[in-house]
Amino acid sequence: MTPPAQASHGWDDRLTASFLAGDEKALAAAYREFAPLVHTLALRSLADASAADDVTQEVFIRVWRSRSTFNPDVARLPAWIVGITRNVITDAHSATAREVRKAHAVAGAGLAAGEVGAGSEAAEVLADRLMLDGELERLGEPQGSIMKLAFYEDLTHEQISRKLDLPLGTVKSHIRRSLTHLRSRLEVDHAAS
Amino acid sequence: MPHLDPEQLSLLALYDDWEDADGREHLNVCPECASDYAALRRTVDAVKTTPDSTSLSVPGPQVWAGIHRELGLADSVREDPLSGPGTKPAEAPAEAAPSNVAVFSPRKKAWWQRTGTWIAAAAAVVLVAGGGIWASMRPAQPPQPTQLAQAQLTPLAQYSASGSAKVVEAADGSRSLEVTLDKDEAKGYQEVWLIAPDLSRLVSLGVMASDSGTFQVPAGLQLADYPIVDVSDEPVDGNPGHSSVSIVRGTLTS
Repeated sequence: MTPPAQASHGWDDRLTASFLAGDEKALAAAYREFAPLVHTLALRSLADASAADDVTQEVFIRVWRSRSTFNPDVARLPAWIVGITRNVITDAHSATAREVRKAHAVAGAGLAAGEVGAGSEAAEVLADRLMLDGELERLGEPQGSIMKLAFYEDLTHEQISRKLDLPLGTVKSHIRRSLTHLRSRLEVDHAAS
Repeated sequence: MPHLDPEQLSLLALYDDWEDADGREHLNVCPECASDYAALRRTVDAVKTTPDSTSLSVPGPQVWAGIHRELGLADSVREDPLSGPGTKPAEAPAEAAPSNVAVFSPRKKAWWQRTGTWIAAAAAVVLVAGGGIWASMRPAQPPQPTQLAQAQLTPLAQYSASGSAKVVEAADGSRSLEVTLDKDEAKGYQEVWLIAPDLSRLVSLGVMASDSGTFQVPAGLQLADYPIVDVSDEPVDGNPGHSSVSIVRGTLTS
């Protein structure tokens, strides 16, 4: 069973190996795949198109220069890029940036909420998705199977209990702990940013 | 009504249509449970929904050009990866490269370094702080015999430590920064930095393992260029950069 949601938006993990080996074409491929997401996250957060350009540039420069610190056993490359994006956005926000935003607010020079774009919500969900990519596999069993049945086949906890022949209480407990774990992955990402 | 049981909360977040009128009613009146529910719901959404990526904003070609230039990438990857409609072949033939090579502008200045933005920033500082902060951010004045500059260090969000810092010059002309805090609040470890006024550049002076420390200021470093003293909270993660989490900060004045 390979639910469609497990696909990582066209990112082929073989490219990750090329990327780590220093293949510039893999960097270009990562840019093609993730630059719009990075740009949209930055635009959403900073509400300034040229600031979003700067963040996007900085993210991929960091991604390339610090590729030796990337550990594919800990996260997939897309999640790593999302994490770096959050860090760069935070840097752009730090003290002086805060003043700039206040200036924009005062002067009315910032982009209005509507101009930030309809893609911004989608970008957050996509970023979250990339962070959680592969996490169901990391849950182990039977948690992984329980959560896949719940997420992708919309089975209730009673149905899962019958299908996997597990006590209902066990299924409920696994659901709670797995959801808590996935939630913490997202919150660690945000806290680190 | 007591708070929702964590398993109940998980099921509510997981199943939109799970019948639990009492539970859903409780979410309407209990901010604590509602906040937990929202976080779980976000997690569920992230896994279950397929976001529409067609509405994302696309950076212009100058962004890749800047990356290409900054990293000194090969000509074969000069073209903006986002420019073509489809996937570029992995091995593009040499003649496919554009014959008229574009002249790339230098890497753009970061937005907070641009004059217009900077003026806006300065305006904001004046507006927000009534001019006081801005005055204190002026470059340090020419050196005096021993104490060159000092700063009051005040806490940033989530922290309550405070203290002071001063730069002193020894007889041989070497300078050192002495930092004193009233407590060590780092969750990881404290690292001491000198930072440019626009935060675009920073110099690490070292690790401060207790509530005070003395650090050599590199010869040739102009204090006027790096007047902000910053003590950060650094996780032990092998990342040499600033964690972006500052405990205290202050601006050196003479």
